[in-house]
Amino acid sequence: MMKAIDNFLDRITMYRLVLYGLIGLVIIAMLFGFFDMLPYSPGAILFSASFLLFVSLITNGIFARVFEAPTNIESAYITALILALIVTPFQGAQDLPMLFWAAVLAMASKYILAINRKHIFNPVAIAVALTALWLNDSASWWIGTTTMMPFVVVLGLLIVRKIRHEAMVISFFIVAFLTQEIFTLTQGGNIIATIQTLILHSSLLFFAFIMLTEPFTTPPTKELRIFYGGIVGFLFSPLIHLGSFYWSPELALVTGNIFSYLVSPKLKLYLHAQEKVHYGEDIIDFIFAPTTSRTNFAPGQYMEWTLPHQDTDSRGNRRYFTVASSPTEDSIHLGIKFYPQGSSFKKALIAMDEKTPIVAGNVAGDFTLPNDPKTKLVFIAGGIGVTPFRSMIKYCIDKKEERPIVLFYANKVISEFAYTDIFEQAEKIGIKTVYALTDTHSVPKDWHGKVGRITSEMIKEEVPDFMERFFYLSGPHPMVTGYEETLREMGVPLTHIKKDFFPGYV
Amino acid sequence: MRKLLLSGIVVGLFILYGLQKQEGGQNTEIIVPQSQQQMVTSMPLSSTQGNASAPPPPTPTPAQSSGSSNPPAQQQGQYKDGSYTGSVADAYYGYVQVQATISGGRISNVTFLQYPNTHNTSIMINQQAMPYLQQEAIQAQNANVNIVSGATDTSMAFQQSLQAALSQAH
Repeated sequence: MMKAIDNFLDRITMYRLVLYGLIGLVIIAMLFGFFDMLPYSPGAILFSASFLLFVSLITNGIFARVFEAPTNIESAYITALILALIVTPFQGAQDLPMLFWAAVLAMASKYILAINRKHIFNPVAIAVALTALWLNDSASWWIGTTTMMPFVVVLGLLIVRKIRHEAMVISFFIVAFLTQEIFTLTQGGNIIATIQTLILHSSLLFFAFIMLTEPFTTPPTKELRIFYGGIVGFLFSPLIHLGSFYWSPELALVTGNIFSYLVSPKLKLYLHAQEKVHYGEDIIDFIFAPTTSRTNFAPGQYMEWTLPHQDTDSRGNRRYFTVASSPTEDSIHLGIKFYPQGSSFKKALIAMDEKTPIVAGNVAGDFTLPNDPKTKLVFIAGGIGVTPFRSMIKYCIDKKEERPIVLFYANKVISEFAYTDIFEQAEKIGIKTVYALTDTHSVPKDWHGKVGRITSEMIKEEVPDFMERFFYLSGPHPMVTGYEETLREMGVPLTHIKKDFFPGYV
Repeated sequence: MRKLLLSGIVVGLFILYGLQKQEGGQNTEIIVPQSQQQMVTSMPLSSTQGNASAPPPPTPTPAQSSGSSNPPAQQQGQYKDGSYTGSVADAYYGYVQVQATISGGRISNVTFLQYPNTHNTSIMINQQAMPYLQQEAIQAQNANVNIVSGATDTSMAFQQSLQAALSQAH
C-alpha cells in the first residue's frame, strides 16, 4: 500500500499534487453545499474560486511582466484556490472587495515583499493578514469543518509524504495542541472538547498540511524546520497576544516566515552552462561557468532551479536538484538523468546553451557529511543518485579530509557510471568505491566490479565493520527503500541510515 | 522604476480603500436588537439589518444536535428559579460562558459572561450570533439551539455552557 502511494507520489510534482488536491477539495465542498451539508451554495463556491483565479492570474501576469521574473503559473492557481477555501464564499456584492484584495495582495506580495527575488511571506497568509489588519475583513477558514476534515487529512498526508517534512508538521501539531490546552486548563475548560474543536472545527489541519508546508518559506534543515513548526504552533493559538495585539493563524505563519527568512541561506546563483558531459544514453553532467558569488552550501545539499522557457508545460519551470559539485570548486555541476517523454523543463535543460540563464536558489537539505570526520560511513548510490556523493567526496579531496568512507555505486550499464575520475582520485585519501552492474546481461568480459544488485553479502564482505557505520542512501525511491530494508535485516539501526530526498522522475 | 510605480499603485490603492472603508464603517455598525420576540429560527438575521455593506449575516443551518424550536409541553416550567452559571466552553477563538436566569420555572434570560472578543472578526460574528442564540434558547427552553453557521464554534460552546447551567436548575 505504502509502496503504491510512494510510486504515485514519485510520478507527480509537488505543485501538481497540491493543485489537483485543491481542485478536488473545491469540488467536494460544492457537492456538500449542494446537499446542504455545508452552508454555502455550489454556485457561491464556484464563483469565489473563479473570481479569485481570474484576479490572481491577471495580477500575477502584470507583476511578472513588469518585474521580468519567470512565473510559475501553477503556484498562482494554488494561491487562488487556497484563498477560495479559506475566505467565506461569495454571498453578495459586499464580499467582492475582500476577495479582490486577497487575490491582489497575495500575488503582489511575491514581488513587493521580496528581497533579492526571494519572497519572504506565504502569499496567502500575508494577504489575509493584511486584509484583517487594514480592512477588518478576515479569512473565515471555512474549510475547517467536520464534513471536509477527512478529505483535508488525506490530501495533507500525501503532501507531507511527498515533501518529507513530517517532523515539522508533527512539531507544529504538538506545540499547537499544548498551547491551546494550557489556555483551556487555566480557564477550567474541558481538555477533550478543546482537542475536538481543534481537529473538527478549526483551521488547524488545513493550515498545517497545506500552508505550513509551502517550500519557499520553510527553513533549509530538519532541525530548523522543527523549530519553525514549534514557533508557528505556539502563535497559532488565537489567545496568544502581546498587549492588545492578538495572533491569528495567518499572523502565526507570517511571523514564522520572518524567522525562516532569517535562518535561510540567501545564496542565489545566476548561471550559464559552459559544458555538457554525456554519460551513457541519458545522463548529462552540466558544468556552469564560474560565478563571482560565494558558493556557501554544504556538500550534498540541493537547490531549487528555475529555467524560464517557451511553452512551459503544466509541470512548470522549477525543479529541485542536488548540486553535484563541491563548494570548493569554481564551477557548479548538475548531474541529470533524462527520461523519454520528459517535461518541457528537461527538454529546455538539454537545449541550454551558454547564453541561456538558469537561476539556482533556496539551498536546503540535511543529506550532508557528519560533523565528526572520524564517523565511519557507507554511501550507497543508485544511478544518478550519486550526485550528492560526488559533492561530498570532492569536498574531502579538496579539503584533504581523510574520512573512513566506502562508496557502493550501482548502475544498469557500464557507460552510466559518472564522475569516476573523482572517485579514482579519492582512493588516494582512502575512500574506496565498489562498482556494481545490475543488468547481468550487459557485463563486459574485463569487468572487475560486482555483478547484480548490491546485497547484504556484498556489504558484509566489503565493510566487515558495517555495524559501526552510518549509511547514506541516494537514488530512485524504490531503490532507497529496498536498501533500507536490506540494511534493517542486517541489523543496522534506523538511526544509522540517512536517505536522500529524491523528488521523482519529473 | 516601473517596478516601483506598479508596487506604489497597488499599495496606495489598498491604503486608500482601507481608509475610505474605515470612514464609511462608522455608519455601518451592526445593531442587533436585544429583544427580538417576533424572530423565528428560520428568519435570517439580514432582515433586521438591511445594510448593504455589512458583513455577511450568519444563516441558520439545521441543527446538528436534535434541536427543536417547539419544545414539548412537559418541558415547560421544569426548572428551579434562580440564576445558574454555566461551564466555560472553548469556542476556539476564545471562551463562552453563560448565565441562565430562571423565573417561574422557565428560562427567562440567558446572558453572556464571556465570549470571544479579542479579534475584530469574532466580535462582529458574535455580536450577530449572540442575540440569536439567546433568543433561541428562550424559545426552546433548553440548550439544544440551532447552530448559527458562520458562528459554529460560539454556537456549540453556547450549547455546552448553557447545558451545564441548566443541569444545575433541576
